[in-house]
Amino acid sequence: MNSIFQFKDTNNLVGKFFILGVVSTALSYLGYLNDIEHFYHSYLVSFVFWMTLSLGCMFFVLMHFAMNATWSVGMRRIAETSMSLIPYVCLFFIPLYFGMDILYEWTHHKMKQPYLSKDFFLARTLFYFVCWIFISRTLYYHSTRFSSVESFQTLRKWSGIGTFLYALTISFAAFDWLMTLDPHWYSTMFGVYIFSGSFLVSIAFITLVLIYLRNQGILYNEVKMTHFNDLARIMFGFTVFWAYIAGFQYYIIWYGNLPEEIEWYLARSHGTWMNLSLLLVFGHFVIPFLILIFDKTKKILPILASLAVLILFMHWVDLYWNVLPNLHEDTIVFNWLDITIFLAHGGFFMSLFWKRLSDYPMVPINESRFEDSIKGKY
Amino acid sequence: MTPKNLYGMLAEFQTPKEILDAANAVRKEGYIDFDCHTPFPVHGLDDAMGLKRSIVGFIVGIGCVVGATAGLTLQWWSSTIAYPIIISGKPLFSWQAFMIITFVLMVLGGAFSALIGMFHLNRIPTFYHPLFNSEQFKKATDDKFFVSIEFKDPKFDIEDTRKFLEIIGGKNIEVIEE
Repeated sequence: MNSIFQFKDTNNLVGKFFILGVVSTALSYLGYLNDIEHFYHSYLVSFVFWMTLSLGCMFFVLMHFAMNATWSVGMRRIAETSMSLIPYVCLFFIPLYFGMDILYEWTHHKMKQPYLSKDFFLARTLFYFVCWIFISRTLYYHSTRFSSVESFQTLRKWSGIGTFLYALTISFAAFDWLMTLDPHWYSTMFGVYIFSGSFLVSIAFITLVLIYLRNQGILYNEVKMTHFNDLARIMFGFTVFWAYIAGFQYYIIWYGNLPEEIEWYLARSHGTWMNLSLLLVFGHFVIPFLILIFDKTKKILPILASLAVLILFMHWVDLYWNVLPNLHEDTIVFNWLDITIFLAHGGFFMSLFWKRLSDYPMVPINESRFEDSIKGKY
Repeated sequence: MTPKNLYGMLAEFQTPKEILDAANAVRKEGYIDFDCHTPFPVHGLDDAMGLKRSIVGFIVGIGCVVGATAGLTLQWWSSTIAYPIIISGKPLFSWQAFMIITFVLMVLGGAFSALIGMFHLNRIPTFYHPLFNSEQFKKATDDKFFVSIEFKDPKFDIEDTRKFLEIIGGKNIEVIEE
């Protein structure tokens, strides 16, 4: 009975992505020997990319249960599967422990004590990881064993607590990992800024995976065009939300013009960094906005797929733009490490993703609202 | 022989299911100027009647562009032409500082155009409507469902339309005068 919802890896995606991961890791190691400073900066970009992607998926699941949603029941397992990989993404952090002295100026100059000290930084990071692993494991465990009203009540309870913890931990993780790269700079909006990109990229990821499955003829009748339309609406909403947060962070700091704040934007508004800033404005906001604002384009899958790829790429550019000016102040220095580390993390992540997806049926078949979701009763 | 000041024809239906089938039938028969009147929103009626998506979104879009342009132009004019005062060493036209008012006026323009556009598309306010001449039409706010076909519809014929409405199950068919 359940077998039609069982994911079968006919294209051997698990193997292919694993090989991609291994090859890219080997290449990245060569790059590590070559340019250790650039290695750690690229590594941070890639680590935060995959972390925010899985955290965005976790937020999707948290909201699904907290809001008692029906429309997203059919696609919930995709988000849950990438959420369940958070423990592995946490392991990706380990090399950064050895690169802390290179990445963060405050490790060898005492400033903003006692917050910016190595031990406290690692303790906080560990706390975020414990929170995220706990939330994701709890939700995944109860959701895959969904059987009765009681499991739903348990999930609702944990999603309420989880949302609260999530909001605090993702904000402070953004402060710690990215904002302290320039220890003088601060922006109270930065946590929300990373969160908005995180949720947007997870929606793009879910859309892309669903379109891939649909092209394979999987979940064809479970995730219909109306569901893709709903995903496109969220994609549109969070494109605007990201632009709102990113824009107002800029306007306020520009107007305040305080030395320790404006420095961050000055570094990103001269030379080739300005081109990257403009790429962000157009690629992350203007182009998706102008395409998604129309109702008809939200119903064409090839357009949605291309926009999802654009958003995934732009989220990476966004993080690159956040991190790399810390190393190359004058101009963009592109290194092939930027790609290989991304592919190394991505290869392992996607390999685990497809493997994990075949562990349980791809849709929560026991859930009563599943029928309503298919029929569009929401 | 048709009466001189004819508005159209009204037929009564009993259940939401009936009105959905009736709307489908009227649309398939080729009528364009018809309407359905129900005591509460009936899901799927828009599709059954063949109604297109409302254009209010485009009206809001225009309102937003007008509002944003007005907001930016106001600030540009007042701070570079009318009162060119240098404030905290910033350029006279510093668009970053003007974005908040531009954004807020965009929202205001959008909100007003949504409200006024919706009123206009719904023909609000309408002080007189011929359908209110019908005594039985009052039940449209209680427990009955009505289909009205207007005289101005090219397919309207007082005999044929009456027969057609009877065939699809309409009760108490009534001719409405202006």
